[in-house]
Amino acid sequence: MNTRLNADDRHLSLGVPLGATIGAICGFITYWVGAGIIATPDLAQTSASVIPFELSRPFHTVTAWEIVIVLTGATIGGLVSRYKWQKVGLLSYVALISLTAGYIVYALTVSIPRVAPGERWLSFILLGAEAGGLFLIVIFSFYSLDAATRRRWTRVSSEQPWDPLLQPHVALVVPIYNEPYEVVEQTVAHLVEQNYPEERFHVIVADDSTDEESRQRMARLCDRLGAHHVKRKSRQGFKAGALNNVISQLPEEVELVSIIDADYWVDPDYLRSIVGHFTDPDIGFVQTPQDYRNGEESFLTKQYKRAEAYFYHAIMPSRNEQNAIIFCGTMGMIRKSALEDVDGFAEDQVCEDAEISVRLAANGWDSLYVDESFGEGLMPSVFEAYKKQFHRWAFGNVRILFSHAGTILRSKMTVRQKFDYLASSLHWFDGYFVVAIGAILLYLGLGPILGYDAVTHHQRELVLLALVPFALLVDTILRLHLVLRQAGADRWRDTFLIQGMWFSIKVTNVIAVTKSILGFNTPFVRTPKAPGGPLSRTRAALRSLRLTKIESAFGGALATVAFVNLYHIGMGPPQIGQIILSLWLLVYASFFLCAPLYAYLSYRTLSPMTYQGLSIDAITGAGPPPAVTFEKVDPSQISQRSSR
Amino acid sequence: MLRAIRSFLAEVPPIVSRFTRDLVSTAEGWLDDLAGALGPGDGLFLPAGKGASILILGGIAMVVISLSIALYVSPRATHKGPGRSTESDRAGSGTNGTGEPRPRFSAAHAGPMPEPAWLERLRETIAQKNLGEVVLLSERSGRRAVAIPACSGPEARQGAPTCDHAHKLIQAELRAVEPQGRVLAVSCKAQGGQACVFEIRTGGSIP
Repeated sequence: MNTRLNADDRHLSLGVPLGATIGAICGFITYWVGAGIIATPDLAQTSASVIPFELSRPFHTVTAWEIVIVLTGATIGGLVSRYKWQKVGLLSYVALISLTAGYIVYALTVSIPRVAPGERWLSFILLGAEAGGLFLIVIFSFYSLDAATRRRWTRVSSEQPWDPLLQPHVALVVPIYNEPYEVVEQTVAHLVEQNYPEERFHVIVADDSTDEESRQRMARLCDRLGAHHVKRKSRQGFKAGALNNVISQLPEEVELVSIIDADYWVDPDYLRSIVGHFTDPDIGFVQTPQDYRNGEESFLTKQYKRAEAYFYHAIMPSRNEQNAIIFCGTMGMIRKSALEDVDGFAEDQVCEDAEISVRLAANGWDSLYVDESFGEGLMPSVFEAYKKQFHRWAFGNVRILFSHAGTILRSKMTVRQKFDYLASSLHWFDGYFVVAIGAILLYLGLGPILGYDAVTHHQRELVLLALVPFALLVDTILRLHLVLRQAGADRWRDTFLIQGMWFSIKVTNVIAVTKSILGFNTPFVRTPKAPGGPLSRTRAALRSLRLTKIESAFGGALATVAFVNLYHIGMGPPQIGQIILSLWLLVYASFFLCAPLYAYLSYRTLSPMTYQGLSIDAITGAGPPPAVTFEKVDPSQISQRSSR
Repeated sequence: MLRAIRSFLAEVPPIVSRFTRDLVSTAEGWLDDLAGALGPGDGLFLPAGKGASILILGGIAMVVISLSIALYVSPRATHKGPGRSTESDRAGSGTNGTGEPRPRFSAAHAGPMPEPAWLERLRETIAQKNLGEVVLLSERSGRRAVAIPACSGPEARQGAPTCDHAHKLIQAELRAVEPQGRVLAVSCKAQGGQACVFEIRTGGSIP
């Protein structure tokens, strides 16, 4: 009888109990340290002989809270045991849960009951905003800890060596809409230079541009370079419609479709490096990271490139482990039969790329993330473009959440896949909590100015508001730095700048999410990539203020109220609540003022770059060189085999 | 502002303000019950707020300590993404961590495949036509590459271009057994290639 256990059995028999035990120990350590800190003032006044007994109190005097945190730790440890985190990762997550749970319990049992009943409405709003924010922090901490402290990766793609006998037909589709001719010209030129048998790949420009002259020019370019130019009479379905139109016309032998953004310069080895992954018949799509060549174009592009690294080198590998990545719209390849299985791209969605990932997963297709860059595009280098891009992403992803939540829950996806696809859209809501807490702080701060006393009523909450969110902010920065360091960004300064960039877009996200919830219809808006030139100080400042009216007004109001409160403190006896409020107002003011600051810096530091592209004449003059020929078979090898 | 809110509440239809008041007072009742249940005194239940304070302070301390340790001990990975997993890492790890593990890349993990019936028949037919011996160059899940060294022989030269003749022969043998099968010409000796190579695909959805 075979008594050996397979890997899953071993995991169930050893991994879960071991993880639960380690988690329980983490919970106990957290409780012990907390109890030690609480007891420190008393210990300082007792005799030294009693201290060992007092410090060991959690071992011999069990409390309900001790049991709760130990059981919570055991549960978390058991649940994440399959992910093989480092122990510090598990300890960090258990401590975070302890912190957030303690915060909410303290608010419910101590802070709010001590507020005068007539004033509690504000406490409830504050608690709701904090609880929502904490919920998101707990969820997204999981991903960053998974990326930063995981010890074993089980789904990292093996390199697929080029096999000249494996040559599926591939269509490289470039959807364009009024992009500058020079940008698209280089994209097509790079694509036709793929090291892949030329009969087996087709470069297709799906041209939805509105200018007929521009379309004719593009058609001539395609003709010269051996690419196909496809245009339509109407822009029905926007980008998704253009893609569906092309895919419906593809020859039968085309089996894989790769979507390439109009500004991408794709590596010649892209196709030969990716097609091999489709030998697994369950793989519906393969995604590679987006990368950028204009990282030095402005202050904004520097931060953007690092922030994208967080997504592509932390979030995506973590989700890839669970077979729950998203298709990112460019530098990804989809099996045509999978596309047909889900009836193509959804034409009523503005994030058709992320949306199709959900339907493919719901239909049982697997996905694979290959963490290796095969092309470089352009990212938005000024704030206006950045804002448009995030508006579209926030709007589109929340629409996906609302339109597909039922599909996801009813599908045969695993629990973790469902969680990943549902949770991935939740971070777009975090702006609501930041705005809500900012508004409450503003209301509290206006008290001394408008003549009402809210600070006294909410003194206890303000102390808590200073301590816990500050700790969470530190936690977020530490985790972000931990992950960014793995993606190659070593400096603490970069971590803070990326955090600032995310704060600068919160209000835009709130507006986009609200529109999406209210059922607004937003057409697909292409992210403009042509940055223009740098602006003078005055023009940059004016444009920044125009683009960030809400953030500037709100941030300015918070800062003003903070200074007025500080002035009031200086005039009278110091109040701890008012001091904390003033400082917290300044912190929130800085969150909102990141928007005009980043906008200004993006225009002032703009330095449009030029790139050495490919020579079209060289390509067309020599004809597309067949970089891979079919004569890969060694005749002597054949004759040797024949003779055997 | 509070006064303004109160006056606004007073002006709205009574049913709305009554509903709001009821909602708040109900929540306050729950809160009082919860506070009473969680903090009656020392012993198993700590005084109100003490247990939560322990969780908060312990949590803050351990978050900072553990992440600082993680920053210290985890490698400064300057490469992109996680390292490649080893064979032993992947062994037995199903995609979703449940059920039987599936081979992710069958080409790398599957052993040699048994020779199918059509290939045997093809060998016989090609031999009968004096086109030499069919050489199996490679095989992976659902696809095989074969070379026919003598496909440019005298019989093949009659009529259509050489590779077309061999192509049709293979196609006919394959279709007789596997109607979904496809044959693709990879290289043709008559057109300057060093050998006549065909890729044979079976299994429907396999690319």
